[in-house]
Amino acid sequence: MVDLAFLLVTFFMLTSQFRAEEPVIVDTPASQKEMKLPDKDIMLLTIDSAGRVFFSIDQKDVRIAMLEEMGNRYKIEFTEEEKETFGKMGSFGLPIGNLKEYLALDGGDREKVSRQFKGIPMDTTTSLTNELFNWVDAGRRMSFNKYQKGVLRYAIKGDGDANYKKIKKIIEMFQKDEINVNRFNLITSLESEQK
Amino acid sequence: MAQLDTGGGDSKGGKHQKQRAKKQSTHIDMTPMVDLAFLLLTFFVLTSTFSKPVTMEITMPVKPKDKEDKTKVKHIVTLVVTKGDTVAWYYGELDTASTAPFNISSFSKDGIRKVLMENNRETIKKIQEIEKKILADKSMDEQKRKELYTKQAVDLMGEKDALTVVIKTTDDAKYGRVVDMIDEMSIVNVGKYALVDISETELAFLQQQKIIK
Repeated sequence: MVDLAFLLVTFFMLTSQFRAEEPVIVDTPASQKEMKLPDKDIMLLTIDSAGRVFFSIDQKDVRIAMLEEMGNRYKIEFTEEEKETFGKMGSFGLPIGNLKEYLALDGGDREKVSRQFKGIPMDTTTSLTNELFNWVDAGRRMSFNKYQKGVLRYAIKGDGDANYKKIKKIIEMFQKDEINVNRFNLITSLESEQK
Repeated sequence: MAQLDTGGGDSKGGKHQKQRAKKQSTHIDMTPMVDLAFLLLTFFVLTSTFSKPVTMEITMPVKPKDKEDKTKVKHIVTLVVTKGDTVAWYYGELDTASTAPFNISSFSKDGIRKVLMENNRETIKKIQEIEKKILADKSMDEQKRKELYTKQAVDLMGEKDALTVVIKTTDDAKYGRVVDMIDEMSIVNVGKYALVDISETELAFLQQQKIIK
């Protein structure tokens, strides 16, 4: 029995993945869909109840390449150390101008600080003022460089209380010609009982 | 608790000690280790399995480049999700001659679901029939039956006379409500639905009916 217990411990330790740090608590709406989200190749946009937008993409090498690309666009140099930290980080929601000081903090402080930020700035243009567009665009390009084109999925994790207008704006941004994505994954929580 | 069973006997002479050492028992008290193992086991079991999120996939309609691409669909219900706890809807085309073209329903089981089910009853009936037929067919294994059922159901939902639902929202609608409506589509077997922008005329009527301010 003890052997078995250890076997199980080892199994769960090896298979379990810790959830990436999430800056906000998002209460996703329930649905009866049972499709599971794959755990790889996901670009995740989190929208909290106040309408703040957080961005995340998986795969460390994509993240680092994306940060370099964003550095080029916004003329910000990131050190190797900062890139490393960024590569391991979860979702973030802050203007790129604040990113350097944010990366210098250690994990616990980062979580505290991220509550004060207003999310990634976005508007309806495709210029540098629309930082969210640039993140999405850079992340998408880098993912296509490193991995097969078209495997990336776009997930939207919105709080049930979030204003739909905000989500509509994000969807419209994705549908622009520069990105041209029309298929989304809306993350929901499973509703167990039949209504 | 956790110590090696070294046996007593410090007072014995050197000769004896040597002999004792050979006979030493190798039994260790494993209770704490096992406790720890189970503790870890419980921890990993509880944390790992629940973390996978579920998702609903939606495909947004591609914005038509020219505005003339309006196909006439007859069997259609338009829903407008507003800020409150009700959803406004109308069947077919917006009746601009009427003073109150919008009907109001709640989000509950007896509200909008009933409306959609009534409008979609032909398709639902057909789907139930094929479900019965496929379930009765014992020549296939379960996997195959399920596949066949899903395929035929999707075909039925896509048929020309099946119900089409257009979901529109006002600017202050809650995202959760919109997701509820998309979810409702799969419950009432509506295969053709789309999220579309609301028109000025509709907004004006909603205001007139005091559904929105």
